[in-house]
Amino acid sequence: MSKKRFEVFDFLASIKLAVILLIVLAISSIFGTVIPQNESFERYVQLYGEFQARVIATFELYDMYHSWWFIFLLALFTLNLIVCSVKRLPPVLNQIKNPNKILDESLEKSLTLVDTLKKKGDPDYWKNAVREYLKKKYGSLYEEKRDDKTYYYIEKGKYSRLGVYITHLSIVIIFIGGIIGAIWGFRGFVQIPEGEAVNHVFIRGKSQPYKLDFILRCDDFSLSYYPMGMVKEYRSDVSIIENGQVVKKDHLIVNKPLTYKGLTFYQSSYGVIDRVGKLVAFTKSPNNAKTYELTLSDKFVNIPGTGDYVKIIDFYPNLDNVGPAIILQLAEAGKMPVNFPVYKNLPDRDMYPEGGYLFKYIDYHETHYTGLQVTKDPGVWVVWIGCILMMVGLYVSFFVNRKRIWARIYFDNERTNITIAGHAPRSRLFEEEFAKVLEDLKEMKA
Amino acid sequence: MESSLFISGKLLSITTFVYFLAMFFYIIYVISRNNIMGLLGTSATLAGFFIETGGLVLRWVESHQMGIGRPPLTNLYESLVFFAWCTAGIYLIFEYYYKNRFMGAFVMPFVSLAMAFASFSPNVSQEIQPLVPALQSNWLIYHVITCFFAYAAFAIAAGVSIMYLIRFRKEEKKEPLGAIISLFPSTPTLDDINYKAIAIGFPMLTLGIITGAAWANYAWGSYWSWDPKETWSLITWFVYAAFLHARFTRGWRGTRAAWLSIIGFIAVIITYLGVNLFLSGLHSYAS
Ligand code: HEM
Repeated sequence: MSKKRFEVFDFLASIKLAVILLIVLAISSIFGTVIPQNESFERYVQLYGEFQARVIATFELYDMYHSWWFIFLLALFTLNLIVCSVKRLPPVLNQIKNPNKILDESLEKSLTLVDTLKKKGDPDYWKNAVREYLKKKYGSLYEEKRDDKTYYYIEKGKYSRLGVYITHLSIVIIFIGGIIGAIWGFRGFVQIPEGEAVNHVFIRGKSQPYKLDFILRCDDFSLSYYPMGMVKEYRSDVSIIENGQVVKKDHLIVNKPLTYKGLTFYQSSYGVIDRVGKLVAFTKSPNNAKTYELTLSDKFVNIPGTGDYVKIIDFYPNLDNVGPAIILQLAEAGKMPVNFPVYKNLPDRDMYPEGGYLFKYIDYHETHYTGLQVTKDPGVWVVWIGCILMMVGLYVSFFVNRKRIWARIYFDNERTNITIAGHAPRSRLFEEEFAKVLEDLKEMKA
Repeated sequence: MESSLFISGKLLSITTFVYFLAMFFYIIYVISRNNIMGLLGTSATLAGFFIETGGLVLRWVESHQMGIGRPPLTNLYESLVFFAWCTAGIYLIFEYYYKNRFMGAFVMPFVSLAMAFASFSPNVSQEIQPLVPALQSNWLIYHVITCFFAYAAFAIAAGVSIMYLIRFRKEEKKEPLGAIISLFPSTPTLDDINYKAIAIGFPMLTLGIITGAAWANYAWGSYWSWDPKETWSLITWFVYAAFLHARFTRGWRGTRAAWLSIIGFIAVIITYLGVNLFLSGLHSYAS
């Protein structure tokens, strides 16, 4: 029974399981990038056929990253990580606290960078020389005399082995942050017409709106453009109102959200509520010269005294590189409606020569609503702390090199025996450094 | 406005040519073992790197002159150019450090192909366009630089892994290595370079994913939304994490690690190109 339990424990603690899980996670994650997510069952039937759609439904591939089996894999992965780290950390901590400072025979055998020099002369002289040399090169060192032998020990970057554990811990912390967000956070949206205010937002998948404990007013929404007509900025000027008082005025643009009382508002969309265009229409027929001053919107307006109707369909800030243009739809009595642009900067350009009127652009104005995304995520700070820890952990495990140097000195057979050993598993440069130490010591004379 | 009208466009075209030249020199060097060819390869790579640096800086300056100043890292063309720049730069460091030019024949093809794809593919626009609002963020710069640094390191790791597999096959079968392969670094050294490159790439990719998450959180209010590009970067990250752990597991070192490195780089290419060209999402450069 207890043997079985150990087997399970060892399996859960094994790196082999970690490698397998990482590969399984990598492969399974592909599905969700190929199969469109969050579509209806009918859509999957359309895309892939009846049977495949059933498979998709059974394995929750329509929302794969939140499916039971993917969550299970992540949970198993986390368990693997925790069990493995908990099992290995205590011995590592113990080694950091009590490193093997004495270069005895068994240690010497386990190391590859070892060499022994035999020097003539007084052992005390050599002890001193080696100690001073190492001190000068590496700073402090540990010294111990045992029997008739003297041992030195130097360790640099001894905490580098903790990097892995910091990294592993950070993954658990990031997961915790994600879970906090999933439980206590939400994502919503709200649309506010210019000049109006709201005290609630809508949460996706819920019919009840979420009530804010303040009022959010959209004072203005504006678009600005690059010279060539592409949108440069979407901007909402907003006020936050509490107890009838404006407590905060700010603006939102994409990449500059607004956070208030744990809620963050993001500029995410906009729409046109109203278009008001002032135009002048001249009749083209020479025996019926008339001028009409028109105020148009996106609903048909009758041209007075005629059977003709006209409305605004769209507006471009920079059409065909000649500046603003209104797109009109003109429905003359007995003819099919026709769409054509009216340019602000080309007043004589007639884009509908067959039509009965020439239009001139006077003024145009739109009112908008702004579309804001709203989120609350109390876990996000936990995630960032996890991310910072992860970078610290990765830095420590990859860029802080642990290196150790041992020396053993004793007098034997008329000679002073100096054995030097070194170990730095991560650093190729250390081999050269060690060779240099040996060479320096070889060259020393009593 | 075609960028070929600009000096930067010219410089970057020259770069493409020079990198191809470097690739051929390295390949001839591998075949002929003529040291002059190797030296020419290094010189061409170095020259290409400097011309490209000039091209990138000028492109930035030119965007300011057009009144839309933004870093040259924002569309597919520029990211390919930047990938080539990082890979050439990191490769030069590795060549200097390991004193071996053979890797050039395996790494420079990635660099030249990236430049060629950027320059000649009809899917890749070279225009200097203004930034849409979503891209106007300093996070963009940090995100792109860290990701591409990582991609470059992974490209080198993949090149070295291919060399490893070729040499290992021969050694395993006890066949004579032949004139060319015997000049490859030894298999332990190749394995070591592979690991070192990934040890640089992995933290960089991690930082790239984190800066991307920070930016997404800032722009859209969600640090992770499983969009295809995000997911593929995570897949890539899993593969390299598997690589790092495979080293601690007997039976997973050497050959399997080399394969993981190559598979990891395929995941990089899918993350980088495949997602933009074939899958939709927040990241598609197209639109
Ligand atoms: C994606 C998740 C993971 C990441 C990012 C990660 C990260 C790392 C890193 C960076 C290293 C150092 C590698 C090196 O020095 O070459 C490492 C080592 C290690 N990891 Fe992980 N790890 C992950 C998951 C796991 C899991 C699930 C286990 C569970 C068994 C695990 C067990 C280990 C062990 C035992 C080591 C070696 C420690 C040593 O040097 O003795 N890791 N990990």
